[in-house]
Amino acid sequence: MKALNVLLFLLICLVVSVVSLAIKHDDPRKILLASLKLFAMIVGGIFLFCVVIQVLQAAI
Amino acid sequence: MTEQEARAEKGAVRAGKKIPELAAVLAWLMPGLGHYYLGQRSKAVILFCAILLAFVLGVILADFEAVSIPEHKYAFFAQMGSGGPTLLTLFITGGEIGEKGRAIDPLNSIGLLYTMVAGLLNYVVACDAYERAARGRHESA
Repeated sequence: MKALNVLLFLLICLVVSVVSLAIKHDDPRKILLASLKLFAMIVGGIFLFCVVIQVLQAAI
Repeated sequence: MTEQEARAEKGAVRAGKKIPELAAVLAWLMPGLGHYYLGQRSKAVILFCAILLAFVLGVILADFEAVSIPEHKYAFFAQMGSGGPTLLTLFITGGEIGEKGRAIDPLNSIGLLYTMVAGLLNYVVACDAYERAARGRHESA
């Protein structure tokens, strides 16, 4: 259930990034590339945040 | 002039003969339809797929009880951003929801959240279609 919630959260992140970048760019290839980049940044950011929290919890 | 610039210019020329209000109404009625009307077909397909995916997934996740005017009136305002799919869902389900649907807390239902996000995104897409059509008309004048 937890994994499904995470998956759904990531999917809505992908949808929002695709739509927002579709408004910004005109070229469809650029839209997909830029949205994948933004999505990777979001996932990376969440992953880093989780790692930092784990390290802080372990340190305390 | 790069290929992309040429394509953007072509899009602007196509958008020059279009009515901004009609582009906005079409975009509101069906996600991507406004951009299709403006001649930006591939962008229209991307917008259609992304917004409709979120909306349909939301409706399925909420057991077809996401759209209801009396039970979720504030959520309905957001959902109405994607006019066609919301009205179609309302027509199919009749807006009636059972005990389970009534018990849904709007802040904790991921299905409701998905449909609301899809609707709010489509408001932005409709504004973009209007703005592009108006800009195209202004440039061609």
